[in-house]
Amino acid sequence: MAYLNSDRATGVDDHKAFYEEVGRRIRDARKRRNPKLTQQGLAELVSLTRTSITNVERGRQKFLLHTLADLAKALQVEPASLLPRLEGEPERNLEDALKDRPRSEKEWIKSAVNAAREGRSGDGA
Amino acid sequence: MVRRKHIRSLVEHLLAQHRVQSVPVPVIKIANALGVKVQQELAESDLSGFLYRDRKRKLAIIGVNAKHHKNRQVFTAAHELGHFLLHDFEDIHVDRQFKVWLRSEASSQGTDIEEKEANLFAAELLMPIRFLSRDVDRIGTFDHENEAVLKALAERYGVSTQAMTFRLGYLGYVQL
Repeated sequence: MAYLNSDRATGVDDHKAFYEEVGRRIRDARKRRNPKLTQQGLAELVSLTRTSITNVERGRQKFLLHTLADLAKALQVEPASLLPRLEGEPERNLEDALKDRPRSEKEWIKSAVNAAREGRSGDGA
Repeated sequence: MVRRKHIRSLVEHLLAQHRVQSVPVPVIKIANALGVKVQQELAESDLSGFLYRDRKRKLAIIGVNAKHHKNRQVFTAAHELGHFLLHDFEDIHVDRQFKVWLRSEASSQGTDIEEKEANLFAAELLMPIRFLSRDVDRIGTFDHENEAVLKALAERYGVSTQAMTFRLGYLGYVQL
């Protein structure tokens, strides 16, 4: 919910957190894809420029709904998996627990926890 | 003090509960049955595994480094499962490379005890005595220099040769 309300509170935020989270999920999915895709490779699959992909992944560029579908198809994931969850609370819990961790640990743990929650493959250890 | 008896009986209980009749022991399945998800994820090489307790959702997630050898990933998963069952500490526990094998002088207190316990749990779970003693009896005489035997045993249990050698030494089957 926090994502969706963020701009109403300040009037300037313009859904920044939402697009950043979507971007992070797109980047994660791109790196997790087998075979892995470069930003250029993904750009070609969805008829965008590499610069656009860079901006989308950083949450700096908004895009149309059908582009989300195209991205999901190219990344071989469900479109819904690229959207943030509505219940912001547990996610913030993880953020809190991670706040004093080194960056390499943070990213690893966040990706793994999100993947486990969404039941993505990778449990065959 | 490492709770050797407690850990041994905890593992015996798990093996019975999950009707484990052969090796390799299905660690992931056992973890899942306990409400713990195991997730492979790429990380820097010195990161081994983590345990995250999501208390609100009443579930736990173990992460293992997908970059590491499969045997090591399984050992790490078992190690983290040990923390889950034995230690109720912080919400997130991260393990970098295991140094406990080396039995360093400094590892006699505090969190090192917990790491030792988690390692012992993993060794007991992956190389249970009841299977290992049978296999060792069948093989007959060998020592720690008999690499082919150690390697075959390790493969059978899905662990590294190093872990198997250490385990056999711990149980007194070979002299290290």
